[in-house]
Amino acid sequence: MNSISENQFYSLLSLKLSGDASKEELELLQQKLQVNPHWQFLYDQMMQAGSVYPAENIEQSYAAHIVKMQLQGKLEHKNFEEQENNSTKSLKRIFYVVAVAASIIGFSFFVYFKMNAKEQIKNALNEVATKRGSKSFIKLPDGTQVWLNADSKLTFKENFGDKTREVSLNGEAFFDVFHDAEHPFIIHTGKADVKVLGTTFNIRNYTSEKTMEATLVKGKIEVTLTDRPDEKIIIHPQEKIIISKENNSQPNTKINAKNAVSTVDKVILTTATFKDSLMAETSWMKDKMVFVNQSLEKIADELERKFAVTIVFKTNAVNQYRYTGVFDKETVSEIFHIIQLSRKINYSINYKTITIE
Amino acid sequence: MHLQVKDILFLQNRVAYVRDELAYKKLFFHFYTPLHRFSIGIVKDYEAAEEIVSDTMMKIWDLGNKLASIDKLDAYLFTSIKNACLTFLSKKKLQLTDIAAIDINLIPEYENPESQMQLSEIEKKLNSCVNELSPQCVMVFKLIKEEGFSYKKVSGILEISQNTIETHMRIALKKIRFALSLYLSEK
Repeated sequence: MNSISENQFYSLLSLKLSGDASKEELELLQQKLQVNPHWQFLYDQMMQAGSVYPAENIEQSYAAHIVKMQLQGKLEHKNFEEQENNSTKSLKRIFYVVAVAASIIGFSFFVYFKMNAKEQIKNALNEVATKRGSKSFIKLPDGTQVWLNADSKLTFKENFGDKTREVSLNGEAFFDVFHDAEHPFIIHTGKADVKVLGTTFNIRNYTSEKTMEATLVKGKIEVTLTDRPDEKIIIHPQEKIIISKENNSQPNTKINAKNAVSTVDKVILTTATFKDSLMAETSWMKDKMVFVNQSLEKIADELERKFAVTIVFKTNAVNQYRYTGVFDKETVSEIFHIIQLSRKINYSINYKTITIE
Repeated sequence: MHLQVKDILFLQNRVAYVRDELAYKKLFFHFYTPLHRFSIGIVKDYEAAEEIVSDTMMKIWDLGNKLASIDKLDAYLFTSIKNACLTFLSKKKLQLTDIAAIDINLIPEYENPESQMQLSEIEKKLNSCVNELSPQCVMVFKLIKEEGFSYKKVSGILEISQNTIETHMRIALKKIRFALSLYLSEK
C-alpha cells in the first residue's frame, strides 16, 4: 500500500464525513474500503455517531447555567419549566408585595413591643401551668428542676434569682432545688411559705383541697405560716406537714415538731406514707398512684386530675369508702373495676364522665 | 429533539424579540452536546469546557435583538467556542509556566477529559488519540467527524483554508488508523 493511495483514502473519508464528497468520490471510497480491512475498520469507527450525552447531564448543566444567569441578574428568579400565564404572574406579584409589607409591619410591631417589654420585664411573671391529665417538667434559670403535676400552676417573677429565688405554687409539684445558700429558695403557697436551701421535696397545694402538704425527700426545709411569720417549722426527710387552709379562730399553741401529730388541728406533722416501698406523695412522678387508706372521694379527685375525667357521686354513701392500693399503668375503667372487686360500688362510664351510684 | 434550520431561526427570533426563556432552553439543549464535545477536544477539561459553553450560551441571551440577525447560529456558536477555548488555552499556558511545580497534578486531567461520558473501549482509545492531536487539528477533526460540517463551514469557523482542513484531516485520520490497528492486527 503506497502512501499516496493512503493519503487519498483519508481525503476521501474526510470528504465523506463533511458531506462534501461527490458521487464519484464516494464510489472510489467504496472501492478502497474493499482493498484494506484497516481502512474499513477506521471507516466504520468514523461513521459511528459521536458520544451520546446522558440527558440528565444536560439538565444539570442547564440548571447550573440558569443559576449563573440569575446570579448575574440576567433572568428573573423563577423556574423555567413553569411558564406561568400573566394572571397568575400578577397575582404572585401582588402576593409578594403584600407579604413584604406584612413582614415590615410585623417586624416594627415586634421591635415596639420588645422595647416596651424591656421596661416591664423586671415585674413580668413567668407562668407554667398544666391541664388536667397532663404533667410538665420545668428547669428554672438557677438549675432547679420542677415536675409539675396535673392541673397545677407555677409562677415566678422575671427577677427570679436576683436576691432570692421565689416561686408561687398552686397545685402539686416536686422540687429538686439547686443548692445555693446565698439565694434562698422560697415557695409561696398562700397559707405558708416554704424556705429551702437545697433539697428535694413535694408540695401539694390544690385550691380545691382543704389542706396544703409538704413532704421532704432529702435535705431540710423550713415552713412558715403566713399568719405566724415568727414561727418556723423544720421538716426532716420523710416527714410531711399538713396545713389546714380553713381559718381557725381558736388560738393555736406552739407546734411541737417532735410529735408526729401536732396537738393543733391546723398543722399536722406526720411521716410520709409508704406503700410497697413507694412514697405515696411522690408516686405521681413515676406515673403511679399510691393510695393508703384513702377515701373514695379523694381517690376520685386524684383520678379526675390524672385522667382529665369527671367523677360524679350520686350518693354520699360510698364516698367515704376507704381503699389502699397501688395503680401503675391502669386506665380509669380498669382502676374502677379493681376497686369494685373489693368495695361494692355501682358505676357507669360514659366517655369522660363516670357516675357512681 | 432534532431541530431544522427553520426551527432554529424561529427560536432565535423568540429569544431575540420576546425574551422567550423556553425557546432559549430549547436552543441550549440543542447545541449543548456538540459544543461541549467540541470544547472538550480543545481544552481537554470537562468542567472548563462546560464553563466555556455556558459563557457562550449566555452571550446569545445578551445579544438581545441582534441575535435575530445571526444567519447561521451553529457556525456562530462554534466560532465563539473556538475563540473562547483558545483564549482559555493561552491563559492556561501562562499559568502552567508560572506554577510549573504543580504540573504533575494537572496531567491526570489531560489524560481522560471525557471520563464523565460513557464510552466504549474503542471510543476511549479513539478519544485519547484525538486528544494528542494539536488544537487546530482537533478542531478540524471534531467539526467534520462529529458535526459533519462541510469544508466551507469549517473554513468559515476556523478561518483557515480548505486545503489546510484537508491536511489536518489526513493527519488526524492517519494517527487514528494507527491507534485502531491495535484492535485489528495479529500480534
